[in-house]
Amino acid sequence: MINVKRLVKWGLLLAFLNFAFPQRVYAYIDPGSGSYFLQLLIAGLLAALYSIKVYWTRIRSFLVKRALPSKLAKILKWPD
Amino acid sequence: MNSEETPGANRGIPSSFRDPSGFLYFHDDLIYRQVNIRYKDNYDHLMDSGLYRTLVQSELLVPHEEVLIEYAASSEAYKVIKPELIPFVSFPYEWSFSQLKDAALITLEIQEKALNFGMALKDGSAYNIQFRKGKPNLIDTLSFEKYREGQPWVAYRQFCQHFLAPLALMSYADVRLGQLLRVYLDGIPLDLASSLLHFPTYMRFSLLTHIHLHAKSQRHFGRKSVNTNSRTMTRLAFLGLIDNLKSSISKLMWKPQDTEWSNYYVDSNYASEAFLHKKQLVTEFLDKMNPRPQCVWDLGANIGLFSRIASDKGILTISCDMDPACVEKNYLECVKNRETHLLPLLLDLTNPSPSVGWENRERISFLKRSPADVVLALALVHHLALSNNLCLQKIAEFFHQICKWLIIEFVPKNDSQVKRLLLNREDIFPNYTQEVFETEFCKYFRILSAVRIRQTERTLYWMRRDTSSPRE
Repeated sequence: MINVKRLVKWGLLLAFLNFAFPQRVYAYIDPGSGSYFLQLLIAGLLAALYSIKVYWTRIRSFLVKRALPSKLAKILKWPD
Repeated sequence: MNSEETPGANRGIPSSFRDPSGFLYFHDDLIYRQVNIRYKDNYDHLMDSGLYRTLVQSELLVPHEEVLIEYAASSEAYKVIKPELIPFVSFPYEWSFSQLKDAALITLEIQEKALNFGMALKDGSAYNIQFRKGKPNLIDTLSFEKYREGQPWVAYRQFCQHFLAPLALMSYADVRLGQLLRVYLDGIPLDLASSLLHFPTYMRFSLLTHIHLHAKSQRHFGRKSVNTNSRTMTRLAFLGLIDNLKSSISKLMWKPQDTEWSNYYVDSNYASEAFLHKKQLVTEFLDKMNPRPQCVWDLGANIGLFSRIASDKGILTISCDMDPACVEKNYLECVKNRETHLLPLLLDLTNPSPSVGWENRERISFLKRSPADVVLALALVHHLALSNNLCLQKIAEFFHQICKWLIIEFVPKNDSQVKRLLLNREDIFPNYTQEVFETEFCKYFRILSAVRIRQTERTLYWMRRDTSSPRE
């Protein structure tokens, strides 16, 4: 997990130098081109991290429910 | 601004001018918000989708009621709403670390919920958050817009400047850097935050991305003319961004160290009987006030021990101190006990929050939020007089401006705390005596009671502002 984070950090630095994916933004507050591009740059990464987090939570929850009788899980207040 | 269109009826609120979706104004001392026609679709979606109900039920958004369109302040009105009044407005530079952190987290929670209803926050301003019944709430009902698939978060820059940058600086560099918010009203510039944050913050993915790279990105694209039509951000990535910001802010910590003031009650010369007697006197004075006070300001409140005498009676109490550690401890105690009538704030009474922003009216000064019904000034006067060289006449005049009732403690020169203050300096305060104190305060107040606190040299006064005074 730590290695993945390191890869992500340095990969991001390199990728940042090469990306520019613009789109029209509607706002009364200027979102700023730099802020806007950064979001697009990290979008794929954030989507992947979020998916992993969501699925990992579900898998863990599934395994815990199977491994522990439900009453015991409730007593331990294991997260669903 | 709009008061010109309905002369004598409406009074515009100086901070409400940026958003073309609508604005706030006072009418007969009640607050209203006009929703302009151009915001119609977004407002209807907010109300009809169930988002408004969800947020209000979760105590994340200040509730409002719709009133007759006749209350409108201009012809652009689509609806007029009357939001619940926030009894005391405070600003991010007056909040402790955890107050700002909680405000940031509820902004992200609101954004998460809004996305489930097909909406997004169009601004991420810390000024859109106010403390209501002890919890941070969004006060700007017009902050939402319909989410357009593929659009990035337009409030991202503002959120990072208003919340993430100050919290990171307070956590990693120095908690006092939160005061930069007083200078930079649209949040701390990210290049400044980046330059003040040490190298270890580069090792944290979220800070590396949302502050350091963000700052570089702003610099790189700042003056470039670019095509804006080709790439989108998926809903999953949007959720990922919000989740990442949330986890980043949750991990930021600041532990209040034991400062001189946050340990005051441990280190001071209070005997327990003196302490109890003082508490008893404050309780008695508050109980005797008629009509019952609605708002108490405890100035120099430390961790809020005496503030709680008032707030426990259901009186809104603003508990101010200049020490960030005291305010933090006070707020954490409020959260722990789910206190709804106490608002701890960071305030240096010798340099209170000024009026700032456009025309110096956008964010009003602390003193313009007065008068309080009651001011508690306990163990405070000697600090103002002897540490800040203020004469008693000026101190009396000041309190006269900000309160109707005053509970004030006089600490004489033979008190051990005052002896400590004068230990390493020349005593240039011949007029700092109880007689002069009474003479000066009697020019502005009527002394209703004066009681010597047991086992001390101190006297606790209960005073009422003298309405017959020529200075009134």
